[in-house]
Amino acid sequence: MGSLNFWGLLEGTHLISLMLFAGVMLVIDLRLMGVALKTIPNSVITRRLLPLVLGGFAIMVITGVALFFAKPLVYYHNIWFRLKIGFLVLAGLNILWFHLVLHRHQDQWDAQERPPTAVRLSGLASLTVWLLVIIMGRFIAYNWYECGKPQTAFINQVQACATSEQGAVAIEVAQP
Amino acid sequence: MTLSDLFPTLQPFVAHLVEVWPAYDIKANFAIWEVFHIVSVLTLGGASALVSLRILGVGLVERPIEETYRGVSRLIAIGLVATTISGLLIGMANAERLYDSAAFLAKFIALIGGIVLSFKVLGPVALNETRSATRLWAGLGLGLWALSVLVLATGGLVTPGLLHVLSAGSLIVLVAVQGRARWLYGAGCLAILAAMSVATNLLFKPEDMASIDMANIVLSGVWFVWVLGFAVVRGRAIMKDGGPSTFAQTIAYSQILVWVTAAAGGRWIAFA
Repeated sequence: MGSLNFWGLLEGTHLISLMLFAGVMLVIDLRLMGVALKTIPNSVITRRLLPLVLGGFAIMVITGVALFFAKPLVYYHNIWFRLKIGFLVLAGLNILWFHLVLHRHQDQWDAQERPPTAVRLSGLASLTVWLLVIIMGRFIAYNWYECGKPQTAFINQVQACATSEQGAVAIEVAQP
Repeated sequence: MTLSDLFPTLQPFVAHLVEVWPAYDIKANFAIWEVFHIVSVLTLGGASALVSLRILGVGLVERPIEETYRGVSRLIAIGLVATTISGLLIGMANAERLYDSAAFLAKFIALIGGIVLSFKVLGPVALNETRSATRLWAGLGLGLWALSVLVLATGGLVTPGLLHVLSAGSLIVLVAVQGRARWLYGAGCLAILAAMSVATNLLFKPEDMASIDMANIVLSGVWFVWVLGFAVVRGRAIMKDGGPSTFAQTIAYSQILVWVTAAAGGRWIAFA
């Protein structure tokens, strides 16, 4: 596993662990929304599938952190990376909301094929936020808004381009 | 081996594909279509993996296999259709590059094998309705998967992509194996990985690629035998407890790994 292929192996493992994590998470979210596996209680799904989700998440985080440290400054000044971290925080808040508020009354809706609106909304929020994490993660590979390229002040500000090696280059506005 | 080796006369047609609608529209928004493809694959992979893992005694074990399959069969169908359509479309938009890529050929063959196994074999196996036609489809799906692994194994710079298939297989066995055997198995896997790391970083000089390659091939072989051995032992234990047959377990493992092969091939297109 020399360094020649290490990047590829890390990134590939990151993608495949994402398949495990997000693929199973999708099913859990769809159950919360009353769309898939409707005959199986939510508690059974959570108890049995959460270890798989956590396993996938652990591999994803380990490989993700290793990938970050390969090019920390590039990622630090990347708008998609910043958005990805933002959506990860939102996903965490949704998990907190679910466990602190909705989970307390789970015995009332556990076996319902169509759980209450708040539970279905939590499932939808989780699904949406994780999809956005994936989308932002894929967009990191594209250099559309790389620091050093002429772009709007807003983008330069959001990416903190002024402190990057390439600096902030403002887009030239045509004078009337 | 690449598509250009197999069908050299198709070169003008492939070069022209990007000028055909919808390829040029997709090329302009390639990243969005790429994300759509990734989400389709993980929908399909996640839903079908749940059924396969259940066959192997992991996941929703309190419920019958049929119930798990019926609960996600619509997702599998949606994932299959979306993966096929998005794959064809982004393939059209990037045809010339893919035509010369061994990783793409591996992915393409694995994709067809995966569709056969997920769509024609997994259902009958999960519902315990296996007929001779199911076995024929299974033979075709497994054959295509073996061919995709062969393409990846002989693809030069893309060959390391096979490590994803091996590591995914070892993780499936890790969750399937139970009790003390799991610790023994995990320790063995870690020892093999440590040996790989020592061989490639300490034992041989970085410029001695031939020795590093040989060490990786030998140790990957050892790892494969270790994983297979534990899978067989676990499989016998499952059958002893009245669980699914060897055929059903083979389909369960290969059905997950064929999608891992497709994903690994897809990712290694970008690297070599």
